[in-house]
Amino acid sequence: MPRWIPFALVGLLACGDAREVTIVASIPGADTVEAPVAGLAIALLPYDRDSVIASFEARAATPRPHTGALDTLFQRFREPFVAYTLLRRRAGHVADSLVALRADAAGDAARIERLRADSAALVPRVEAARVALDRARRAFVGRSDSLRAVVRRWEDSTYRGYEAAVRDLARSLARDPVSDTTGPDGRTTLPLPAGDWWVYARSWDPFDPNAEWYWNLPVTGDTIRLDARSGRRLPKY
Amino acid sequence: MPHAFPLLVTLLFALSRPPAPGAQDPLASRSKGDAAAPVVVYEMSDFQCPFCKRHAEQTFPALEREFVQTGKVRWVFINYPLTQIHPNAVPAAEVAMCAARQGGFWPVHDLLFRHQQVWSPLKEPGAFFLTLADSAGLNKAALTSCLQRGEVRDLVRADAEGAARSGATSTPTFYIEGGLLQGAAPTAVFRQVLDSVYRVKVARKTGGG
Repeated sequence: MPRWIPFALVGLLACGDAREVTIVASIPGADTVEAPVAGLAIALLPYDRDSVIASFEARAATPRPHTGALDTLFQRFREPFVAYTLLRRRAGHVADSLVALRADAAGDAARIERLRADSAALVPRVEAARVALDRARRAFVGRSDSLRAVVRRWEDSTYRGYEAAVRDLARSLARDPVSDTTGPDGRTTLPLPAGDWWVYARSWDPFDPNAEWYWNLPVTGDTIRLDARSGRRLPKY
Repeated sequence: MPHAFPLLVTLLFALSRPPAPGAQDPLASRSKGDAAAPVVVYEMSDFQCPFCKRHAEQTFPALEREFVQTGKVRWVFINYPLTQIHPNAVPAAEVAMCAARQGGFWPVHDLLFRHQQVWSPLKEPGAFFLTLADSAGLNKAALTSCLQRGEVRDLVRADAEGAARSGATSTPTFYIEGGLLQGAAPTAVFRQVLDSVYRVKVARKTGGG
């Protein structure tokens, strides 16, 4: 028997009635306020994904490559990325306000002029931030590509057979994964057949293009919150 | 339509080659990302197309963060105005390309899509387009002159002809390293395609398997 089966079977002895579960997803946006995550792909799995992964890693031929250098590169890249993202967002808001104000026949002329000046002043700042980001990317890409390739080769080799293993596992449990995407309010409600289930989802991180939010949570109630407290930020190698 | 790929490859090859040292990259003003990124995506799009709007607003932001800003993908916008069904698509493309001359293609691209429902039904959208560009902080006089003199008309026409020759029959259509992806596919589809193409390209470059 493959070594991951005992981990994955933990908890399978408990049974419950068929029910519904509501998933509510929100992550901190670039302005640090938690915002609903619309269109997030959600999977309800009849097994604990992390345990399956851990069992594959436990039998890896070689240890996971060191990622310190890559993590440092990610960290350095983050600052110019966030600076550019925030400035661009601000320029977009100013431009939108101007369009809205101009559409209003009673638009305040002085305010329009002020916003127009703001918009014009933001253009060179956005451009400077973009140039800084491009510079950071040039320093980042060459080195990150080769370091990433090392990690991915290890992952490809270590997790080989994962898809077939989880398919067999679901079949042995006679329960197929259930999937859906969240609506504009970051929510979705799914039917949940009896048995133990885990919610699995991953979402982009507005602060870091080289990271993502990851959730793998047991379904323990009728509402599961996917947020910064219940998730983990993982680097994307 | 596999038979269309060689044509597209021919069309895009000239555009996708890195510019000679000192030469200006003709696609730089409507591209995002590293010119030397391992993967290049050509988005053939129409500013008046609602599915292109959906892609621009709901899908592209995540792709930009994940693939473009990280240097994995270069994203190039190719104008493909479907004039028979979208009468304002050409003037919209022209205002975006005139904005590109001032380095303002992307802000105007975003505004055109965001306010598509406002300008789409207008009989004469020119004045509204000018206010959009002005709202984006661009030089209005230079933009007006560019539009009045038709300075980018041939560029938009060449884009559209190239896109049509390539086999794209609808918008948005994406050419991704040898394949055409048609329609406003969800982020998950792009993610899968781009991840897999990126892996192959980087593995080749770094000599891995």
